[in-house]
Amino acid sequence: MKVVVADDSRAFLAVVQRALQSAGYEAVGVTSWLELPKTVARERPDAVVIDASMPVLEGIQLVEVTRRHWPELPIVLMAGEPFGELANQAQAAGATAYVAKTDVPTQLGRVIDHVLRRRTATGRHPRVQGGAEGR
Amino acid sequence: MHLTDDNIFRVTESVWTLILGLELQRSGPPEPDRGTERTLLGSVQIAGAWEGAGQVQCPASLARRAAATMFGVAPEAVERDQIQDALGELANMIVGNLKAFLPQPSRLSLPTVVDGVGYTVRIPGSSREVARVTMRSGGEPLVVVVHTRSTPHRATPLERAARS
Repeated sequence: MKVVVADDSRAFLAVVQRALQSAGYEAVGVTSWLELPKTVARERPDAVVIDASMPVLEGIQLVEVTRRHWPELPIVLMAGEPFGELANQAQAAGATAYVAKTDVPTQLGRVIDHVLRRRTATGRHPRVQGGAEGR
Repeated sequence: MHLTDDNIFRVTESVWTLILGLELQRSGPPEPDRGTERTLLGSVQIAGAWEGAGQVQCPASLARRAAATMFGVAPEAVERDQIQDALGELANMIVGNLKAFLPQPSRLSLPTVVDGVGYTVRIPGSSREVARVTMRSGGEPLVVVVHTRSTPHRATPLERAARS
């Protein structure tokens, strides 16, 4: 199973990739919003993880754009701040789930497992689920 | 919820341990900077119902150790831009989580990083320090500082005319 991750920080991208690999996923990273659509089209991932805080096009907008082109693709939004109002924005933009960045090392693999299981069961991407923070 | 020194320590400790797996303790103020040691400072602005900035500062050696952990490589293999990237991201997470203790709604800027010796950093507009918490990780200092923008309200021409 393959996951594409978009984060402008190469340092955090490395943290996310390690978390996904240890959960058994192949992780492909991109550091700019421009690379994401091309990479998704090329790699045909099972899920996408997007940082909420990206330069030029913010994560929420990137979720919207990605959702428009790939209606069934599970999209997980991650943020370095607590999800309050951001959770509503994530849902409105079409995110499938969200996770706090501090929970990425321990929870991201489980969040991806969860959304992919739900997707397999329903054939569609499920509605927004809280990551470790929202449960 | 209020921003307190304890909250700042708990948030920083949580980021430091969950992301880096490094220990962190509260400590007294660090030795005064004699302007000879290379340090890095990651800064994130907060705008909205509360205006200010949060800063995370540490010696380059600690920032290098943090970057090495994030990139999963040996400290000596980390390059300068990787160290700056890592500290910017850590500042983003620490200040982002401190935002929960400040009036809402507010937004974070992207992080900026200063890397050098004996520099001075100025927050745009008039600002004052509201919190400073010193910690240590592996014997090296880590300081988190929060500034609020305190530019006084300037009366508009209409308000001045009404008073006269």
